[in-house]
Amino acid sequence: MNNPAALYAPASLNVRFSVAEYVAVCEATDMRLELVDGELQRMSPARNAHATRQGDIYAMLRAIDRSRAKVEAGIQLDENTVLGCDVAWLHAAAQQADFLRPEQVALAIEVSDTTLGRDLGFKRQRYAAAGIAHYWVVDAGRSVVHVYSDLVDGDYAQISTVRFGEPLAVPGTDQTIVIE
Amino acid sequence: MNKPASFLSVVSSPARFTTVEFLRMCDAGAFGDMYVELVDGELERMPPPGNEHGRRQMMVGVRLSRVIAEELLRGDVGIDLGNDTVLGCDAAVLVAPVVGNRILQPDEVALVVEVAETTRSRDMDMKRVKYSSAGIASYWVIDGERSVVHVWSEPVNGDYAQISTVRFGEPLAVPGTDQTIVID
Repeated sequence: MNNPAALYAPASLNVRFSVAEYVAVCEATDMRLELVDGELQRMSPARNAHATRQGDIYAMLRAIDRSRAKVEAGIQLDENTVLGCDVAWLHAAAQQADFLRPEQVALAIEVSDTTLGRDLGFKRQRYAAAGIAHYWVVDAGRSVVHVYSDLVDGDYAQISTVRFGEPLAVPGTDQTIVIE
Repeated sequence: MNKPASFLSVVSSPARFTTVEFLRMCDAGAFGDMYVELVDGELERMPPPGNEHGRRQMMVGVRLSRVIAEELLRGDVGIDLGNDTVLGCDAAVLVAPVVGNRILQPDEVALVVEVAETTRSRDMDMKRVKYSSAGIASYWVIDGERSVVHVWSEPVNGDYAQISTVRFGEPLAVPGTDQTIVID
């Protein structure tokens, strides 16, 4: 859908929210929020199918190694940015902290319903730029998983499409999981 | 110029906050002392106002109080402008007294005043469009840098039809009265 032409200049005077302020706002409200370059943004409320699929993927990864699977994980990409990741698979067991750091994350997984464009575009770019080596986008509309890997110059060089029902290799293990 | 529909957006394009959600967050104290407005569903945070801003804002209130009944004057009040937009204005004159601690509806407001020190472009562009689109009859921007008051009135179809500039020190007609005040 086309965006109407803006009648006025975009906000450039705005003060950024710090991560600490972001945390405070999150604690005061039950809305799911992200912080993008200091701007507070809300995440679309998760729909039923999304939640089920997210739970299934989390369960499968937990079965491989409980301590390395995180669900609804906030990943702090830089001083002003915290993105919400549906399921994260870590290089190693992590200590409990406010947010994950990208160096800890071997694989980020987003389950897309209404957010496919943002997950394939904006989030892919930001995760890649932060050095997260593997990224999956679960595209329920097409029943495929978009698999990104092989970071070169801040973006993923390897992109493949794996149909639901086919095995997906879990990085850093000799295991596969299957998303239906 | 319209942007083409983009499937892969590297811009974030987040979901909008609705007015109700925003007000709930405000009520829950989510923003604490932070000065936050809602513009087209996006949160915008402003820096805390400085000394000049505070001085001018108080001055406007004091001078308006000489010609407008106190019960119709407001400082630092939020207005629900529709379309997931809630703005805080520096001063306002009401159409009639309003009771209760809530944000205002545009049809309750006869005049909005913004003091522009660092926020001039935002006040003169985005806010002008928002206030006029909501049908607020008169809008002043007190431009400290240029020592003028920008005066807008007669909202028609998303903008003000009547525009004038009154230099500091010159009489400024106060809408709804036959009186003038001076800003300097």
